[in-house]
Amino acid sequence: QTVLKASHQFPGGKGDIRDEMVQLIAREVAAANVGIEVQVFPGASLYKPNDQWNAVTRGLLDLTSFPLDYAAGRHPEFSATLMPGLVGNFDRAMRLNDSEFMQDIKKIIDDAGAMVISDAWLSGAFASKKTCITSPETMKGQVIRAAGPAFEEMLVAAGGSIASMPSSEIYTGMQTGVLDAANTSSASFVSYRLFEQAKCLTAPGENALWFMYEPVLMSKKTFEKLTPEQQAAFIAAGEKAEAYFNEEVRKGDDLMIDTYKKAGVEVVEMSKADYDAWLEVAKTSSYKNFAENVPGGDKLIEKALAVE
Amino acid sequence: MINTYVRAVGNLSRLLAVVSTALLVAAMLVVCQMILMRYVFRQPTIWQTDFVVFSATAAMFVGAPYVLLKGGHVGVDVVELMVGDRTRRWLRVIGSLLGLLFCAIMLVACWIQFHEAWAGNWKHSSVWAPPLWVPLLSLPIGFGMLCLQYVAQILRLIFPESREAAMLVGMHGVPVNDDPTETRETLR
Amino acid sequence: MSSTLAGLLIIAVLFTLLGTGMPIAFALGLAAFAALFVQNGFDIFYVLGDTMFSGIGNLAYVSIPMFVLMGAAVASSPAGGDLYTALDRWLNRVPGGLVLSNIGACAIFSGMTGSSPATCAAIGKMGIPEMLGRGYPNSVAAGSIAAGGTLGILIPPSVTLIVYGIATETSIGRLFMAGVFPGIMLTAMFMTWAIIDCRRKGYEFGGARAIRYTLGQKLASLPRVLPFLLIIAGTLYVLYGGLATPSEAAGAGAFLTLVVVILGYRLFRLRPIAGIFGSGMRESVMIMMIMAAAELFAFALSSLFITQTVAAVIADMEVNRWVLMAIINVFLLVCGMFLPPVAVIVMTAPMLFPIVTQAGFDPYWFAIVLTINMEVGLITPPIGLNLFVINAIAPTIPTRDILWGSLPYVLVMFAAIVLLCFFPGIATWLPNQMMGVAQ
Ligand code: NA
Ligand code: NA
Repeated sequence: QTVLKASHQFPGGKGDIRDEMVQLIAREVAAANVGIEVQVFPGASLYKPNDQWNAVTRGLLDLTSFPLDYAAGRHPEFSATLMPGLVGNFDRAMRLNDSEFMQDIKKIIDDAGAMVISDAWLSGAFASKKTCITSPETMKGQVIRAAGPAFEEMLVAAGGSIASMPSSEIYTGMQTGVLDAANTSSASFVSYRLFEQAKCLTAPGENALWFMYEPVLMSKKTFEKLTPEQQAAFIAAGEKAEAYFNEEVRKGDDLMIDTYKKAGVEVVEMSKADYDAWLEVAKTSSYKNFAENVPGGDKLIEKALAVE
Repeated sequence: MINTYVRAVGNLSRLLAVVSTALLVAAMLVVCQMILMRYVFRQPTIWQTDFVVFSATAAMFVGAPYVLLKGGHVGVDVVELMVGDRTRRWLRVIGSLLGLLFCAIMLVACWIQFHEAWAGNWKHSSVWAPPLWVPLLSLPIGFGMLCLQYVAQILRLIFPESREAAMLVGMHGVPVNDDPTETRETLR
Repeated sequence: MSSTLAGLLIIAVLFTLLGTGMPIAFALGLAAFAALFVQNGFDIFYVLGDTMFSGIGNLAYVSIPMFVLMGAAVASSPAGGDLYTALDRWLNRVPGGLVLSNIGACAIFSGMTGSSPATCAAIGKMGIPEMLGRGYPNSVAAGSIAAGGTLGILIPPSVTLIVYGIATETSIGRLFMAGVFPGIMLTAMFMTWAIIDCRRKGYEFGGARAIRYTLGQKLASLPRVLPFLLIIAGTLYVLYGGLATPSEAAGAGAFLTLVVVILGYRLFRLRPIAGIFGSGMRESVMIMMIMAAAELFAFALSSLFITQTVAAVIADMEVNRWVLMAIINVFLLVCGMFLPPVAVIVMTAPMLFPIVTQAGFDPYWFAIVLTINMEVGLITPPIGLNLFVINAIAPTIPTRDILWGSLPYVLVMFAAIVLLCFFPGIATWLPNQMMGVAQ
């Protein structure tokens, strides 16, 4: 019996979709009866979120559900996986998975010593206690806590102020008035009960700005040590987890919208015009910086935008 | 010879203590500047959070050798109090050697990490994206100096200065000055 | 090797290392390294630095040195003495007034510093000689200051509540609010015991009352207290007035305090200012090194699946939730006796939190119960930071008297925990009132 370690930063056993993915892989691999047990360490109980990359690529950690952008300091190309407006909606996210753009990204992951066993694109939203965030103009004068540097660059370019804090402080931040608005994943919007503070929610619809790539990664060092049957068990489990994720992630958005509507929060979506206006802002801020600072960055963005 | 070494290492630790204090003060001032920028001038704050975190964290590692010099790292002295003078001295030598061992291990580990960050040009993933080797440099400096400081301490334990044999370089319960928050006093 | 065996081994190694008297931080680190090295071999060198640095490299943790600096500014200046003098003049005619003003001064001072040793030092430096001078018994003087000092981590701001907030992803602002009423309650309970203790030891209150202060003297002492109230009010305003998050408020509070202290006491020479920063830096480094090493130790425990095994054992015990809470309390008390509060919280909070919330306890209420447990640890051997401080500032008091004087306060704290169990509202009412009911 080989014992492998899986780590992630999300709450364990509370139905968080990313935790469920990893738990599902652990269950499936155990059921495959190939002599492997996967210990899951949820809630950053083993590695700090940012440290997981180093650990998984070195083979100290075997599996992780990892927001790839966290490793952008080491591989700047990864910023593209948390780039405003690059994804748009779930259907396009699925097409993106097999695109040339993602092949480039996965090549970098592979060279670093890890491999993707389940793709996952997580959607997110905006909420404000001042004015609904739709077009870039609505951002002016709002203090916002954003998720991801590329988003911060774009929001600043649109006239917002950035306040950085852990997601657990968003609630207090909005309550005391430190924050006017917040941008994070749909799951966090529900679990941190921000509907008690927000006046308006911008839900991800057909035109969603915020998507984040959070694949399940496996250490190549670990994978190569496994027998072919064991490897096959992980690949199969990874595919199951991916299918599960794709089904559940949309339900998560619906749950968020329901919860906010019930709490009497206004729920809006961005129109195509709003979305395009944001893209223009992004092109002069986050995309531009990305192209300037990352070798081959402009090509990478082109490839992503080229996907139908 | 030993005296010169002990004095030189002590002075270097003191110098780092000044650096550490300066880093802490800088962090404090930047926090205030950040609050002003955001709430009075409604300006975005891009670099402040990173700066504050890295500056304050680096301060802790850089300041550690001085705290060792001053006997400020808290330890348990139950056993020490139960044994005789001779045994106590050897216990302190062993304790210091073990401390040296840990600091040496950390020096190696932190040097590896620093070197990778330097060679790989790693950046912190934020808008400001400062190079990571700058804050990480505090680790090898801190643990390296801790090693030197421990060596000084061990030398002093084995070859006490004749007249001030009792002044075991301020370690283990000998108050160096009257500031109680700094010095651990043995529970007699 | 089973997790249980590994757990016992790593604890045995830790205790052996601690026995040599080496710094707790390095003992924790070395024990953790030994375990990790056995499990992972040389690869582990690649994550040691990361774990220690990112363990404390966090904006919320920056508030710890800031609050400590705030405490140092007051502790190293005449401000603590002034606060104490003012209270003494007003409470002088009350039986046992001097003990009351000491505990009261500790409580007020706690409102400015997140650290218990700082509180203890600031008030004790002035208070202990004064109490001894007026004939109070050794144990009364030492015990009241040692115990009064522990309020530093219960009354907000509090370093341990910050660590708890980060470890469990709960709101630090809310945790601070939860500490307010339990802090006041515990202060009152300490005062009650102090009076009883004085009577019991046969101390005559008549003598103290012989010293009289005129109304003029009383009023003249007030402006000296004003800066304290200003600092507390200022920090609270920054904290709850929508200006900053708790970590930022700490920085602003430290700055404010330094300005008030330096201008107020005209400390324009290098020596006193260097003294403030020096002692602030030393205490911060001491605390944060222990925390960074505790992160490494917690990582080792988790990596060997020890944390999870212990948690599962506790969670699977089919006992009444109050029995469960009692077990957890005993566990925390034992940890707190041997390790400083921050280390205990870093290592146990992530493990206990899910169990406690699943059993239906309020996470903010639990934070307060945990903090009072940690307060107990501050005044019990073998590692009681407050005891060390008293020993250093009052070398004439034998350790025996310090211990015997502190012991009854431990029982008072147990009583406070029991009260909190019967009336959880003492902790939860204020945050619920101000911020709405938590999930
Ligand atoms: Na406090
Ligand atoms: Na203790």
